[in-house]
Amino acid sequence: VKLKTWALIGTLFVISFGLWAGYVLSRRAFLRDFNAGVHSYLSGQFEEAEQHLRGALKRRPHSHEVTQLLSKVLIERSFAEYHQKNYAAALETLDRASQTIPADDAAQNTFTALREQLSVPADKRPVNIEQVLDGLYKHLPAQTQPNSLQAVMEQWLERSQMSQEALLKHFWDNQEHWLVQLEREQEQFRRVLYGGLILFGVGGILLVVSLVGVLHAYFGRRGVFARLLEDHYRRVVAALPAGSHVLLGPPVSLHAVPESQQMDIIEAEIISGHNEEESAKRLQSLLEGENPWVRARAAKILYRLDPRLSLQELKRLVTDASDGAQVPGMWALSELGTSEALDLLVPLAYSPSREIQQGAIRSLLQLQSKASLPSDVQEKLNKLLPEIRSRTGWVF
Amino acid sequence: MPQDNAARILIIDDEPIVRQTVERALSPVYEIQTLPSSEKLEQTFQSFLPDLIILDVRMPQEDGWHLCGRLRRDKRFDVIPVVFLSAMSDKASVRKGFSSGGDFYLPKPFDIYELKRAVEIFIGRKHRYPAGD
Repeated sequence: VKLKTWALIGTLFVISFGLWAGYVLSRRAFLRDFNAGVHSYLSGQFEEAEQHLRGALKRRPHSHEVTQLLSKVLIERSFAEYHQKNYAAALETLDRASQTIPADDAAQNTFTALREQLSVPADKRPVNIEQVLDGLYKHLPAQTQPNSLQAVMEQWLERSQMSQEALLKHFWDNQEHWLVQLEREQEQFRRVLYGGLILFGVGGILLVVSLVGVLHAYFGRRGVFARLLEDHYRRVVAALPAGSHVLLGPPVSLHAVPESQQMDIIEAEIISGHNEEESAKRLQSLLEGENPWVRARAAKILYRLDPRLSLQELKRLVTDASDGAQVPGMWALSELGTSEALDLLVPLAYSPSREIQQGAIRSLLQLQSKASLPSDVQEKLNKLLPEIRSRTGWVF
Repeated sequence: MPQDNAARILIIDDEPIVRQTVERALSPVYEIQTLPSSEKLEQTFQSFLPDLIILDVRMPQEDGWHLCGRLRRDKRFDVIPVVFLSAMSDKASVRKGFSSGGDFYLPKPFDIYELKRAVEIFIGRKHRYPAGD
């Protein structure tokens, strides 16, 4: 699987996590409003209940439970206002209740009947009998036609009672129902929350582990950082002025080549005095490789076992026409820090190529800074550098 | 002779030949002061607050990386651009130069024109990075 695919998987994961988190937060806010609405309703705080339920409805406009409870709250509020003789407010509240469920025809019919009843103030009911008769008498079946004022009153009261009961029944008059409904909502929210946490937590861990595995497979241990550093310093080096790119030292990417690890082992064996003959053979085979940095490093290591062959190879590298080979050769010579290395580097400081001159002087300066440099070589170098400075014009 | 409002450059290098060469090359345009080490730096800053510091890395008392890091931690001087000059031309040294807070790393040997160009870039950039209060 390519790196881009992993990036895509990661992006999809982040997007889906974001969507889930957004949903959970929104649902939590909805539940908070719904919860507050139910509790305000149960404690008789209709105004607050309406406020919270409208908030919940704004977040979930199609929530059947919230619409039902809001209608019920408004109806009960309307009754309460009617009993407080605040008739205008009672009708207005009833209208708002009616607007919450405009599509429910049965409920709308009941609302209309109820509105007719509430539009008659309680203290005027016995007096304003014509209005009652106008409003209700005509709806009654023929066999139950009232034959006295007393009967009309009883029927009217019965009908009024029935209308209220019917309406409240329509909206589930069982107060416990809302608590059960609330608990169900909370349970669903918990399921979504914990389910998401488990899913995204496990998914995230799996993704990170897989990504680390992929990066490890691509770049090797610590290779990711080496690669990033290499990119960064390639940009830094590119930003340097022309000619400054002749920086000494192998590129970081060299550590990733298989020969590099092989050479680490060989060098360790040579230092500890094991398998010298075998090491020399392996190094000689590396000298035939194509990568000039590998050849230069192999020649540098070989110096301990076979100085003649090592210097021969380094001479070949620094006299190669391409600076691709000369720079590694110069680096290896500056690392050697011997009199022979100095003899090979000095002529390069007078090369017709400014870049090779610069690289050679850099190698000589590196050589000069070596604490292990023999004193006679140091002395010779100290005499040579001012001469090179005056003849080449480089500042150092 | 530089103009009255010429930018100021401080060169800190223990090599007299480098100090002289760089001073000779830059003095027609810029006001230059040189120091062989960081020993009298505070004293110099009282009378000569530079717009740019050209700093050698390897010096006997305090090396350039350490000095640069010290300047970067000091709010009075942390905006002054630092150009490193160094004979240490391996990548690890360049990296260390940048991580200590240097703005540019010019490995020795260098062509004086390269240095002039780097100086022009940083002096020209000064108006974009005015010193803080």
